[in-house]
Amino acid sequence: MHPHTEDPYDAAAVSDETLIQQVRQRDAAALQCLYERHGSAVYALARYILRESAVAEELTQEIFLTVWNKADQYHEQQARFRTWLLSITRNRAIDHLRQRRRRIPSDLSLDDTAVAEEHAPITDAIDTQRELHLLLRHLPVEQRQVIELCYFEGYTHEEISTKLKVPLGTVKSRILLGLKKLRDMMND
Amino acid sequence: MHTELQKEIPLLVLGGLPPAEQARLEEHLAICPSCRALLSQYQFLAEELNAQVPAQQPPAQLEANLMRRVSASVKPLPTAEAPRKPAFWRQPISLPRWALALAALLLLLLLGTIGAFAFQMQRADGVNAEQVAQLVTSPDRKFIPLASVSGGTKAPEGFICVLSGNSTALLWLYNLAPLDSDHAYQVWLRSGTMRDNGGVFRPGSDGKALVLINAPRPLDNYDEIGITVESAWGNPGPTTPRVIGGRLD
Repeated sequence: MHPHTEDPYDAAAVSDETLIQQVRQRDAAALQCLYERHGSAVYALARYILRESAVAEELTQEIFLTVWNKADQYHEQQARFRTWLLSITRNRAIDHLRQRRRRIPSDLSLDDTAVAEEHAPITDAIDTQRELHLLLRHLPVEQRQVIELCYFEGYTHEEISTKLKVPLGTVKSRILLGLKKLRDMMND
Repeated sequence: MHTELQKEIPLLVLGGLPPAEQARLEEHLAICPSCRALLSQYQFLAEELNAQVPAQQPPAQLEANLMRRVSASVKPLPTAEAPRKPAFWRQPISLPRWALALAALLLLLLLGTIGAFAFQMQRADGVNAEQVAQLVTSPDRKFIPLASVSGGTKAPEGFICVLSGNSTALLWLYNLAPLDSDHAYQVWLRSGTMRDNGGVFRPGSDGKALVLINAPRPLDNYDEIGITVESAWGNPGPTTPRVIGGRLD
């Protein structure tokens, strides 16, 4: 008999990168492990952007099915798995918002009260949930608002300018000021 | 010009710039290393914006729904209750496959490694007879005996046939305990602290199995092979003690 080296058998010790390799080999248990690690972050981001639980659930499922079916699209050399996962979550959620806006053109109007509350875009008030963003909550409202509209809702600078009725230059300078402040905060 | 463009670099990471302005910044980035360095700082910040959303637990049924959809897309493994798949040499196969499979089996018999055993191919994705033939007919192939942890006369035994530089290996096992339909044997390949999944399989009712392993890396890169009992779809890491295994180096 050969000497037996005991393996720790610790699922928590398996890296995301190893799990994604196993997903590529159609290992459903590896996908489940990735979901258990990152499902709450994906769902939180989807819900944060979409502000609708049912759609966020659907999107979360869609994201993990993408991981299952297109694991080859993830390249270890380019980003950490979680970074890639959250990035595709944001992109898909914004696509969804843009489609929704095309279906509800009045969405751009600040005065339109017909849009259901859950579907409403950020106007001049940041909703309660969004105030909890661990980074953005440190910014003044007007800077946080333009960053939210741009990054989490997919509006162009021009659209934000129209929406908030402020000059285009003001939109840009608020974004730049906010980003700079966040960068300095992270560097401290 | 550089200073003016540099000021706008952070805007790229959030999106929302008019296409012409974005193109102008991208052109500048292509020739300006300091602006590229600045951009990567802001890209990191943008990634953090995604990550710093307060965590929220999704509803419990979401995981079950997801795994149901995933399972539906996976070809199920044969189970004890399912009609047994006939031994692969009895299946209607085309002449080249048949010839290759027969050549492989004859060679194995000649080498005295399989005796008169009848065994079944149990990989969910099927055994590629060409790969089997290539493995066992190569003069460089190596047969490594595997040993069980428990010992005893009825303990699992077997061999692994490996070829240097090749990520495919043939695993032949017998005396394996039968498993219920919720469980399968899972192959693990360990290299230092890294461990790869070598796939799941189920033995025949006679406790024998012939399994073709397609590892992520060549087999001689691994230190050790181990086989454990896991759930039918396999687990991300071993959850039970090793049934049989051996060193590969």
